[in-house]
Amino acid sequence: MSTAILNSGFFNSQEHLNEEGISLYTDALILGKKEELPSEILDHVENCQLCKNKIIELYGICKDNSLYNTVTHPYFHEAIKQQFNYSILYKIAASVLILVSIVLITKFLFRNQKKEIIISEEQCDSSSVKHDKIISDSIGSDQKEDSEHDHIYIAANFNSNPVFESLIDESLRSDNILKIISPQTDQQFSLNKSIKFKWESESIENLKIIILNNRADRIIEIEDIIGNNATYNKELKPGLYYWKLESEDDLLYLGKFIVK
Amino acid sequence: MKDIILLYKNPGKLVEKYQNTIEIIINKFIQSGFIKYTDKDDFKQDINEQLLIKIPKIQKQYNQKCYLHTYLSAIIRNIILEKIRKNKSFNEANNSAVHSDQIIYNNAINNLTITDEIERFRTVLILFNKQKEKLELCLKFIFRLPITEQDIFQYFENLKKADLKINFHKLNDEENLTDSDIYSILTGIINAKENKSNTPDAIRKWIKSKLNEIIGLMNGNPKRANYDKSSLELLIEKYFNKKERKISIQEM
Repeated sequence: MSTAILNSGFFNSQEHLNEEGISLYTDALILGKKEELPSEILDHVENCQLCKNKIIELYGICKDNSLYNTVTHPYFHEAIKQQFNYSILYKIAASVLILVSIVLITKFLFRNQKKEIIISEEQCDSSSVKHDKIISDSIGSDQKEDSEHDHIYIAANFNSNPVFESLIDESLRSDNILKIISPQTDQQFSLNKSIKFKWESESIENLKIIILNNRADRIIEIEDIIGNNATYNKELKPGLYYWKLESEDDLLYLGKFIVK
Repeated sequence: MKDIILLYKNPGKLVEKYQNTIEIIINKFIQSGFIKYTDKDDFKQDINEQLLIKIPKIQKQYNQKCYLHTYLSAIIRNIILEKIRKNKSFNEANNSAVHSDQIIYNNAINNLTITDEIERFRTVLILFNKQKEKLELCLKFIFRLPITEQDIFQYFENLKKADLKINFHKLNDEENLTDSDIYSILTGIINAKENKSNTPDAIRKWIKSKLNEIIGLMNGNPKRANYDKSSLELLIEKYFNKKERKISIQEM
């Protein structure tokens, strides 16, 4: 089984579905959304009698609960919302693309006109600095439009996660034994910049850091940390991230930071 | 307050809120004969204690990808199974085989149980995912249930009607049709659909292994029933009767 599948958060180290994977499949059966399950889960269960049995037993326990008709599902609702957002995003992106093209063509024509004027000014011994400035202004403006275009795509990555938000800065078991130095809540990091995690603690060892995106997908786990700090060097996409600091038994801290 | 918030902020309150769920799950085990009614309170107390102990682990491992209710139900079920194992109640649980035989053969008495068993069988088939339609067709063939064009097209969606060269009269002629005939026809359909050249013997082995898997899933682990090939055949017959009735009602 590939590392990506194991890191999906639905499988245990024995390469079977974990409790969350079993529960997700059970929810899918109850809600009639089996086809929306990740293919790695469907394929695994198709060929695994052990997981099939766990799902059937759990389905038998949960199927009659009225909760399932009333409460929004955290995974399937998110999947539907994302599909919806993407379709709108594609439409907006297409419109923006057309607009940007029109603006670029207009600017190109306009710039050529300006160049002609400047050239004629140069011919009249005007300063060449002015020419450089216009060109650089024009490039700067193009980059700004591209950047706005990208921002539409990544805006969804900055939406806050209501459940995590309600737990940020809440008192956890670690309050008396742990003090977080960095990253501070909402600290911003530039792209390609490493993220340094640092805390003060005297008694806790063998900690683990988990970085999650705003949809609660696990991005990375940093295990077996020695000392009171760790650094994440790989690139993270722009967005809002949450991070958990865990000991072997407890969730010690939940924080968040932003990559821009 | 939402359960997920309680999980982190007030786990004691969450466990308190789940008393009804705990009771429902224990009752399911009592109905299956795994727990004696007199042990109910003991189990309830143990589950509460174990849940509170496991809260930090749950806080860590639950990633909000499924309902917290389902997740906690899975944990509660595991706690019960663990306690049953510790109590060495399996010997008592094995006596439920008698009870399960009654489920199958006294079906006229308890239609509700039969409905539950058919529902379980339906769920088992769904879990076979892409193999479901193939499996349904094979089961109909080997248990010699009436086969219609619709059965073939349900499995082989893209088959053109002109290419369906099956003599249904011969196929449903129970008296003259041999097992060899059945596997030969079935192999032809499966090979055409999958573009393979399986032998009838390979198909027979595949069906046998799937049938054993279905029997295992219907019996459960820990064992909740005592299905064998013949009792499963009765259930499958009822499943297809019910399914076809449902289809014909929808078509009306």
